[in-house]
Amino acid sequence: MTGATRYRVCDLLVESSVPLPELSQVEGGSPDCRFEVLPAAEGFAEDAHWFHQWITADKETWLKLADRGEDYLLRFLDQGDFLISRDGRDVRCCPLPGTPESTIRHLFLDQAVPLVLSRRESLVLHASAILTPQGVIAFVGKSGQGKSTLAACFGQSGFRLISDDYLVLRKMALRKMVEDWFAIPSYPGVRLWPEASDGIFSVPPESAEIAHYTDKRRVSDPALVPFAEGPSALRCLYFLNDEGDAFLPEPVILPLRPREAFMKLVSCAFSLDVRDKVRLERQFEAIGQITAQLPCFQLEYARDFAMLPAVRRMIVDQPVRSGL
Amino acid sequence: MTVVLNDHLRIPEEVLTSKVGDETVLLNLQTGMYYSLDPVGTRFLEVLQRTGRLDEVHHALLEQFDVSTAKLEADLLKLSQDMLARGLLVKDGE
Repeated sequence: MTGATRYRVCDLLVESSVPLPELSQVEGGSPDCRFEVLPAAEGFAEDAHWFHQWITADKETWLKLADRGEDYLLRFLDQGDFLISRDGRDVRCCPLPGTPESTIRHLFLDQAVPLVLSRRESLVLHASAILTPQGVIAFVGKSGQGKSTLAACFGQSGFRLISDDYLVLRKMALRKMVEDWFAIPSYPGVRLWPEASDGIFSVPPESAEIAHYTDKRRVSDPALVPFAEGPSALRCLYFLNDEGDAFLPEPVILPLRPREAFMKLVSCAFSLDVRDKVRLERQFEAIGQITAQLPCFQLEYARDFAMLPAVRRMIVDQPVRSGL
Repeated sequence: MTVVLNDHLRIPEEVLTSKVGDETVLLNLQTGMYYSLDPVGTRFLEVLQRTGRLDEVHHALLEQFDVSTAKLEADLLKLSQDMLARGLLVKDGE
């Protein structure tokens, strides 16, 4: 690719034909993934064999996945197509006419990249995560369950952000012989609804558009949400639910049995090809190890911004109470 | 599918198992469906994986749990039939 620039997202070195200002630029190195944006058109030719789709909470199809020759085809309805090679090394986007650059970047960074990573890593979870003195705490949940709000709340208190929306977990040993599950920092910034931003920050932060179809905005100021520099050991996981009980006077943390946590993690794991038995097996093993080794909790709290400091205090104390 | 106590059963290759705590999660790769077994079901599976024989499972669980022979046999046959129907077990030789 001529004029391409290299960036890092998680541990992935991406060579991109378009600027990705959300990411840090890097010099040198061999790219793990090439991203190319093609001229806008009506999508890639329709010789696709559809095998899966993602449905929104409103029961609408949001993303369709297909085999197309040697590639996977991701069709984001009304936005554009992405072709991903089987090995995840090449990603090409064919946006629909009129799709803004910010939306293309968002679809690549926040939708395509975690799916590419799911081909390379043991486990990629739909989760935000922050670094505490005891290690990394993950907030696992689906869209709209409060992952980014919690991450921003911790960031605003000086805790470093590991991830806003997708969390790469890798088993490795750092400076010791025993292997541990490590969280790999994704990229800086949190995506917040305006009311969440107003509820967390005392002064309106600088923010950037994420995509034309959402009012959410990206807050990347490192003074407000500092970003972690390297991998750190995962210490525990909190699972979020759809809506907090508005009448709960204070947050509640309930321990989950490993089997309960396992079933919840399964539904929050990214997978580009749900038919790929080898990778499903690897994912299954990873989830089994994580839920057997690490404390998992259900987090319940009223979705009231005034409640967030209490949630944060209780969570920061929780690993100590758990003996971590 | 009828199951009797002297049947030989095994977990097919397309089923993955993971022991999490004192429970077990199973994934049928052909259907993509997940299942879980409670601690007693987990013990059932452990003995079955080791011996492959339902009568051996019956014998082992009878020693471990305070349950009548007839009740345990009925429970084991019901669980086995259910797991066979979901493709989580197959009769040996199939």
